[in-house]
Amino acid sequence: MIKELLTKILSKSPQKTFKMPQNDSQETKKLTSEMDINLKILQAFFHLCEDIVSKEFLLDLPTPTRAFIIYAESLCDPVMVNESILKSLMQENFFRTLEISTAEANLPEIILQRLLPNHQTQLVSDIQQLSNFLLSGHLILVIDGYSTAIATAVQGFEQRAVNEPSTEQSIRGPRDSFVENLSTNVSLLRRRISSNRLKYQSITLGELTQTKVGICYIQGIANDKIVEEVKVRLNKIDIDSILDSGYIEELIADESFTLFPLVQNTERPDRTAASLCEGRIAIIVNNTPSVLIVPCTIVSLLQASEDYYNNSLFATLIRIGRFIAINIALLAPAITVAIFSNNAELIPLTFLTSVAGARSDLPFPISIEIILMELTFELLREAGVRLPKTVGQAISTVGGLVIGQAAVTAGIVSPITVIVVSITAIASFVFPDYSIGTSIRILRFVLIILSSILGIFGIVSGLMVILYHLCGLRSFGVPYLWPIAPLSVSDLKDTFFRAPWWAMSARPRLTGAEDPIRQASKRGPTKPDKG
Amino acid sequence: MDKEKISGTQTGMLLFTLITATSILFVPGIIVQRTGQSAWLVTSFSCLAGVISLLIVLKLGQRFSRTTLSKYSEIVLGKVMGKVFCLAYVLFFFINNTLTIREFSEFLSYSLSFGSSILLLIIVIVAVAGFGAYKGIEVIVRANQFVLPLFIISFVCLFGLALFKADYERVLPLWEKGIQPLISDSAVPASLFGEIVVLIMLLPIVNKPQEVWSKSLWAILASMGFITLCTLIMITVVGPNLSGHLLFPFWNFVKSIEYGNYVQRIEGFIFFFWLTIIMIKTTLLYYLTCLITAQIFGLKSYYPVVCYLAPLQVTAATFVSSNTIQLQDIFRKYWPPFALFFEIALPLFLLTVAVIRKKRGN
Repeated sequence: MIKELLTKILSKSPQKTFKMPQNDSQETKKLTSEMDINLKILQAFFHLCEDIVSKEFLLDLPTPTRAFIIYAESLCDPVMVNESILKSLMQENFFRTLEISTAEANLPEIILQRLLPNHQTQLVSDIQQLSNFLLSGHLILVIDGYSTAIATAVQGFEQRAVNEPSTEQSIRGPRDSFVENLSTNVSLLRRRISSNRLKYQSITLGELTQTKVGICYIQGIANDKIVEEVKVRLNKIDIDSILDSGYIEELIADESFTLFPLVQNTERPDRTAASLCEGRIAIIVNNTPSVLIVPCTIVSLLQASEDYYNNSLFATLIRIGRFIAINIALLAPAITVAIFSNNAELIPLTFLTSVAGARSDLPFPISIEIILMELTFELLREAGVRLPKTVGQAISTVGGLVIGQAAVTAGIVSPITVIVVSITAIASFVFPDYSIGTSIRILRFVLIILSSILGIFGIVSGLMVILYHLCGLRSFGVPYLWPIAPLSVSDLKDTFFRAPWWAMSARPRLTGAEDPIRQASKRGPTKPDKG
Repeated sequence: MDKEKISGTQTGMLLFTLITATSILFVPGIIVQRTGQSAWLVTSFSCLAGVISLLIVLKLGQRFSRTTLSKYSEIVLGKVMGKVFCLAYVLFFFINNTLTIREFSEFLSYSLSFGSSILLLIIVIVAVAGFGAYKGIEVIVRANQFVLPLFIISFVCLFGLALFKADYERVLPLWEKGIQPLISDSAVPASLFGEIVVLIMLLPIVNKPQEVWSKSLWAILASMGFITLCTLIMITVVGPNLSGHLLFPFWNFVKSIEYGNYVQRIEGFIFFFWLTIIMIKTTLLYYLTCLITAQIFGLKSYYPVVCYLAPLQVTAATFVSSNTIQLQDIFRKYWPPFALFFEIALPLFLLTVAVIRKKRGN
């Protein structure tokens, strides 16, 4: 009920007031066959856009024909414009050899087919389409007497090179990460999965930004229904701008209000490729290096790609450690509060006396202390993110030390608080996925408050509410806690444990059910016969 | 509401939770008082009640497959009587849940949250249960699947620790007072085993009803073994006489396990998971109360009922008894006949009428 109310309040929207002046007539405007009028139309269309430049010139036909090119200076490579377009258009001998009659009929097509050495050329006549091409780095050639223009791609703008991932680092495994450019990102996936079954389709979203959004999946492994669902949800989006995949993440999630990420985001191509091979679907958004992966489960958020490259026993131990870490990050402060405020009987007496002695002459109750220190730490962490790189780390570590140390010696907080907060902090940096860490951080505070009121029972009730919430979550139809709840024993091999590769003969049942066999069984290592 | 589906395994696990959650804490104490050292044998008699109840419910389920209780009770008994029959079950689930919540909060204020106000505890429990019930049965069974293994692991650790503290002489002499007290004392656990009657509500939403028989039987046997083991170990560690005089002997038994200066006070960690289990149980009963109420009145969804039930549940749980002793008394004297009437007699009555009137489902 509360949720419906909130949704209602939040989704109240004012009526659209701004109308595009060109949108008065419903029909799409077309180019005319008069070049001057075309030029006027286009100049009016791009009024006050100084980076859209046009240049008139003559085509060397028997009857010299006027033409002009128009392009966005900011998006195009001037060398390409000059060398490959203008040079070939101003060549004399080509037009001399043309027969007049054919040339008169469809000059643009001839130019398109025989003159422009470019892999991306197209005929356009519709103004809106033409402006889309122009704004995505195409050059438009308009010839006098023809109502069709030619668009050729001459993009050339600065972009970041493929370098190491900044948030999901690994010791072993590939070291490239996604960049802002969509086609580069797709190429990173194609290089890993050289199969015609890797499908890639794109749509354009965002009225202003016209952001290209690509969907990648492997046909025959990914569940068709989920693929369809992804497309339906993406097509439902009607928003003015998409500047990062985070926009899309919130727009296509199953649940309107939840702290937990229902869509996984990653900047590692190897991780994305592995997810694709499990039958998941990747959503790549132009201009952002974070690629979305659906469906996502809480288990997939707690797996690092490195787990699959290291020795399986070691990876299993690391994973179990990670599950312990998530519990520490969520519960350690709350349990400390519970023990010192309500349930002193829960720890051995000797330990209790030594710790309680240290706390005897402190001004605040433990709950205030812990919350204070946790808040301090969160602020430091945030400051560390915002500060320039050179200062950031020093400030955060030194600040933590100084504040912790000074607070203890000044008798404001007890050493045990500092220890607990530090352990919690360390544990909360263990998650391979940043977004799950944020949800844990928020819930930690909720549990601290609950446990200061009701002790251990408060923690349990809080955890039960969280558990009910988690069990009710779905990501594109896949239960969020799968394969733990609902339990799927065969899929546990890749949850708390990481089975060796020769044992993982089946794909995860809920995402890769279309083609469950990953490899033939019993192809593992064998010792040669002694003989 | 009607689209939800649960699997046979999930049902079995849910029934296990339902039976063990309350039994663990209250049954050992109650049966040890009269039967002394032979108490651990009691549950093997009482689980028959569960099996009988299960058989009746499954027969009903076969006769009227994929129909809800509210529908087929009306088919069998006529419109008005059918509604009355279902109202009886509303009452049963409600009172059952009231007592469960009350026991739970009494125990909490006695042990983990010593001295907390019972009302506050009840409000928190009902709030959590209401939230879970609002989420629906699928969520409840999944949450159960999540916590039940943890609960079992924690108890296996407990048994492992207790083994070295046990004195097996304490179970002798067996059959000291003959078999009579064993049978007469099996009423309380029997009423808990009989709670398997919730299947009457769950059967229509199980995706493979043919699995239910075996899985439920496993659930009954497993919980029987589990409670037997708990009682046995409690008797061997604490002793029958002392256990008979304590309010929550099982709690004291867990408290008493110590190894040196380090392994002591493990009860918090052991009971941590037990708390989750019993939360699931109250949530399930709460959900069933809401569901059957909504079905009787033909509501489209049970969500509104969830809100209206919460204050009722809090009030009922607060005023059901004035202290723990009285509650134990209710549990020992009045609860078994009351519960067994709903768990065996009523379904049996419905089945007989259905057989006599030759009513069948689709």
